[in-house]
Amino acid sequence: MRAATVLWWRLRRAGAADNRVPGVLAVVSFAVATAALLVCVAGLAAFEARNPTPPGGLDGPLTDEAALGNLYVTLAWVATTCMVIPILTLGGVAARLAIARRDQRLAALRLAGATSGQVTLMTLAEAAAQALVGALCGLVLYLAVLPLVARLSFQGRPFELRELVLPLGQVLAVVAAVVVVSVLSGASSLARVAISPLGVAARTSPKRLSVLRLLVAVAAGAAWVLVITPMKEPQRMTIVVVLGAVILAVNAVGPWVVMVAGRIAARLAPTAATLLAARRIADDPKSTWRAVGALGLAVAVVGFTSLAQVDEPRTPLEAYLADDLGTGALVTLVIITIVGATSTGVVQAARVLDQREQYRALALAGTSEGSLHRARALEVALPLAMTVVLSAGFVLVLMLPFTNAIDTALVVRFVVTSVVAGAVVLASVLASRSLVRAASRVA
Amino acid sequence: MSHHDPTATAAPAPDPTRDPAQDPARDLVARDLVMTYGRSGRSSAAGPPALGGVDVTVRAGESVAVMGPSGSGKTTLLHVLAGILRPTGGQVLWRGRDIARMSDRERTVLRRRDFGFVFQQGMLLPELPAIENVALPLMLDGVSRSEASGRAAALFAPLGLAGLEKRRPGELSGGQAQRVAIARALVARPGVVFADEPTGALDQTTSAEVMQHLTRLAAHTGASLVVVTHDENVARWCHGVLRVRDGRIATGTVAAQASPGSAR
Repeated sequence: MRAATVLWWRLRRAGAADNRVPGVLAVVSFAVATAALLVCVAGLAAFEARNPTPPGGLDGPLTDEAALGNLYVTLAWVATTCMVIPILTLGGVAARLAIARRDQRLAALRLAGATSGQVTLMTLAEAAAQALVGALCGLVLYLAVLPLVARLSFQGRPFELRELVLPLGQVLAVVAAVVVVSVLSGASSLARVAISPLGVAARTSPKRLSVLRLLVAVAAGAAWVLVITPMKEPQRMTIVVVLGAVILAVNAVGPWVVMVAGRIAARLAPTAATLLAARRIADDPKSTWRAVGALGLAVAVVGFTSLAQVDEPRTPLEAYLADDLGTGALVTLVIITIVGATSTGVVQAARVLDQREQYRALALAGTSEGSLHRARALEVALPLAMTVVLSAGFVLVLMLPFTNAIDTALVVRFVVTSVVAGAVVLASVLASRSLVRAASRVA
Repeated sequence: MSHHDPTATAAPAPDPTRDPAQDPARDLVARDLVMTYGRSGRSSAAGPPALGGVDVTVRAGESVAVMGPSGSGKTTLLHVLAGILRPTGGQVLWRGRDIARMSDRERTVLRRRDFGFVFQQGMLLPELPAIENVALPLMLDGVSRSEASGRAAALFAPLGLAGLEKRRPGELSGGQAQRVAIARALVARPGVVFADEPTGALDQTTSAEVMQHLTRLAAHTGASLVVVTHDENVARWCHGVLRVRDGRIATGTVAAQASPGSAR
C-alpha cells in the first residue's frame, strides 16, 4: 500500500499541470453547490423561525395568521426540495470531474501492482479532498452573499442577518453532506469505469436508456394525482416527499426524452454543427439532462407559483402573499439558474478537455473555430430550448383556461424570466471558449 | 519528388514517372524553407532552426515518405507544407499561391478544401458513426448532408469497410479506424494528403494493409501523398524518400513508379 501511495503521489505531481483545470472546475462546482445548499437551508430555517408551529400543532384549528405562516413554511419546503436535487446533481458532476481523466494514472497504478481496492480508495480520497476544499470555499461564498440575501423582503420585512446565519452544527452537516455526495458519486463513476491494468474501455455505441423510465414518470404523476390532489389540506411532509418523488421521476424520464430527441435531431441534422451537437446529446443524454433538467423543472414550478392568483387579502399579512410568491419564485429560479449554469459550464469544459486531441485534429483538417463554437452552443441550446419551451408551455396551457384570473403582466414576467434564465445557462458555454481555442490551436 | 539543398548528400534525381500531361500548378513546391521556434515554442530562439533552408517539390500524384530521427524536423516540415505552421522564411507554393503568406482564415479553408490529413491515432470523433466521421469534412465545407453521405459511403467498399458504416470508432479495430481516417482524408478529393505516422500504432501486417489502401486510393484520386514515418517498410510504399537530419534534407531518392508496394 505504501509503495502504491508513493507512486500515486508522484504520478499526481507529474500530472499536476494537466489536472489543474479539471481540479479547479471541480472545486468551483463543489463551492457553488455548497453555497447554494447553505443559502437554501438558511432560508428554510428563517421561514420556520418566523412562523413557528402553534402550541397545539398543525392538526388542530389554526388562526388565519398561523395558517398563512404554515403556507409560507410549506412553500419554503417546496422551493428547497426543487433546489436541493439540482444542487446535489451539481455535486455529482463535480465528483465525476474529480474522478475523470485519471485513466492513465489509474492504469499505471494497477500495472505497478496496486489492487483495485487500493486504487479506488486513493481516487475517492482525492475526490473527497477536492470536495472538502470546495465546500470550505462555498462556506466563504455563502457568508459573502448573506448581506445580499438579507435584502430580500418577505411577509413585509427584510431578513435580518442573524435569521440567515446557520448554527455551526448545521453548517458542518452541509459540508459533510457535500463530501459524502462526492464520495458516493465518485464511487458510482468508478464502478462504471473498469480500471484494468491496460486502461479503460474504449468508447462504443451508447446504451439505449430503457423505455421503462417512462413508466416511472407515469407512476410518480399518478401518485401526485392520487395522493396529493384528493387531500384538502395535505401534510407538509407528504407534499415534500411526493414532490421529491415526482422530481426524481422527471429526472429519470428526462434523459430518455433527451436521448430520443437527440437521435431524431441527428437523423435530420442538415449541417455539421447540428450533427455534432445532436450526436453528443444522444451519446450522453444523462449529462445533457443534468445541465438543462433543473431549469425546466424550475420554470414549471416557478410558473405555477408566480402565476397563481391569490384571493382578495383580508389581513395586512395576506396582502404580502402575492408579492412574496413572485419573489420566492424568482429567488428559486435564480438559484437553480446559477446551479444549472455552473453545471453546464463545467460539463462543457470537461468535455473539451476530454476531446482535446479530436478538437486539434478537426482544426488541422480545416474546421474553423467558429464551427466548433457553434456545435457546442447548439449542444446546449437544443435541449435547453426544448426543455424550457415544454415546461413554460405546459404551465401556460394549464393556466390559460383561467385567463380571467391571470394578470398579463405576470405572464409576460414569467416568460421573460424563463428566457433570461435559459440565456444565462446558454451563456455558461462561453466560459470554456478559451479552452476550445487552446485545444484547436494548430501552430 | 525533387529537392535542392546544399547539404543534401544525393543529387535530386530526375523523376521518370512524371506524366508530361500533368499540370505543374498542382505541384506542391517549397523553396528555401526556414523555421525557427520562438521562446514559446519547443526550443529557444537561440537554438538551431527546426528547418534550415529546405527545398522540396512534391509533384501531382506522387507519394513521398519523410524520414529522419526524432527532432530532425520532419514533422515541422510536414506542418509547414500543410499550412499548419507559418515558416520563418521561404515559400510554400500551391496552385500559384504562397501558403506562407496566406491569412489564418485562408489557410484554414485551404486545409479543408485542398488538403487531407491522416494522424497516428486516427483522431476520429468518438460519438459519430464511421460514415458521419467521413462525411463531416464535406458538411463542414457546406456540402449537403445527403451528398456528403453518398460520397462518404462510396469510399467504404474500396477500403474494405463495407458494412461498418454505422460502427463507432470504439467498435473498430486499429486498422479499420485508420482506414476510416483515410476515407475522411480523401473524401473531399484533396490535392495533397498529409499523413503523420499513419501506421505508428499498428502491427506490421495491418500497417501494410493501411499503406496499400492509402497509396492506392491517393493514386486513384490523383492526390499527392506526404507521409512522415520512422518505418522503412512504410516508406517503401512511396515513390520517393526524403531523409531529414538537423532540419535539412540529407538525402532524397525517387523510386520507380512500379516499385511502390514492393514492401509487401
